[in-house]
Amino acid sequence: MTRSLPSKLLIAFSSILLAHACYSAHEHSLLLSSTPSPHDSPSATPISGTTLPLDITLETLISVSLLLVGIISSGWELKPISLRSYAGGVESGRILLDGKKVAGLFDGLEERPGFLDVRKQRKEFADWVKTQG
Amino acid sequence: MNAEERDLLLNPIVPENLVANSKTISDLHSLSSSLLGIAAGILGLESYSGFLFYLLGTLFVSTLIVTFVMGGKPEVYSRGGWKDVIAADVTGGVMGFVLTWTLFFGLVRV
Repeated sequence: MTRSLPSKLLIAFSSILLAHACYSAHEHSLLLSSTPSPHDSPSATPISGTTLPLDITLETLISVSLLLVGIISSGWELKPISLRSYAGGVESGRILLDGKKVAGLFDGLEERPGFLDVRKQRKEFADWVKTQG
Repeated sequence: MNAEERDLLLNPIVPENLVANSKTISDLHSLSSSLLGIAAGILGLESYSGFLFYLLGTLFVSTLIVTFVMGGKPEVYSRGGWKDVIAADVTGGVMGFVLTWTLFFGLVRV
């Protein structure tokens, strides 16, 4: 997986935005808890979550969406599952195996050893028998 | 021989690629569900609205995966097509989501 520069920038920017939204929400909840609530109306005490300002909500949603886009578009690679297109891609060099170009999936079958020199081997064996006495 | 076996014989698949692809997709889902949990915690969602947020977020992530990673052709990379992309690792994703959701809910609201 190789991250491209635009998605790196997008991830960095939206992370900062998300951290800022998190900090803003934290400050907002501190503000609510430090403000003395009026005694005559206990129902006016804000329930957490429902009172988050619109800009923090929007900032959170936008930053998370951008972060997801940045992460997902940062060069994840899948391979085709059908043997036909996979083998075709490997042979034409569009898909690399272990980072290098190979001739095909069944390349090993194309390599055959040459003929054996039986006479030479027989002579070597005979010499060996002689040296053994 | 039923129709599915026949189809497998006519169009053989590569099992290693199938496994690798579904692992990549479930990685993406668990990563993104943690991020969705952060958002839900900051927004202060509670009970059903949080899980609804997770469902919508997962759909959004699946759309992004189909668009960006698969180039709009999910049937080339997974057997079930886009249904596999949405259903990939839902339980594990929920775990990560609830983890960061509760964490950030507690962090933001002291």
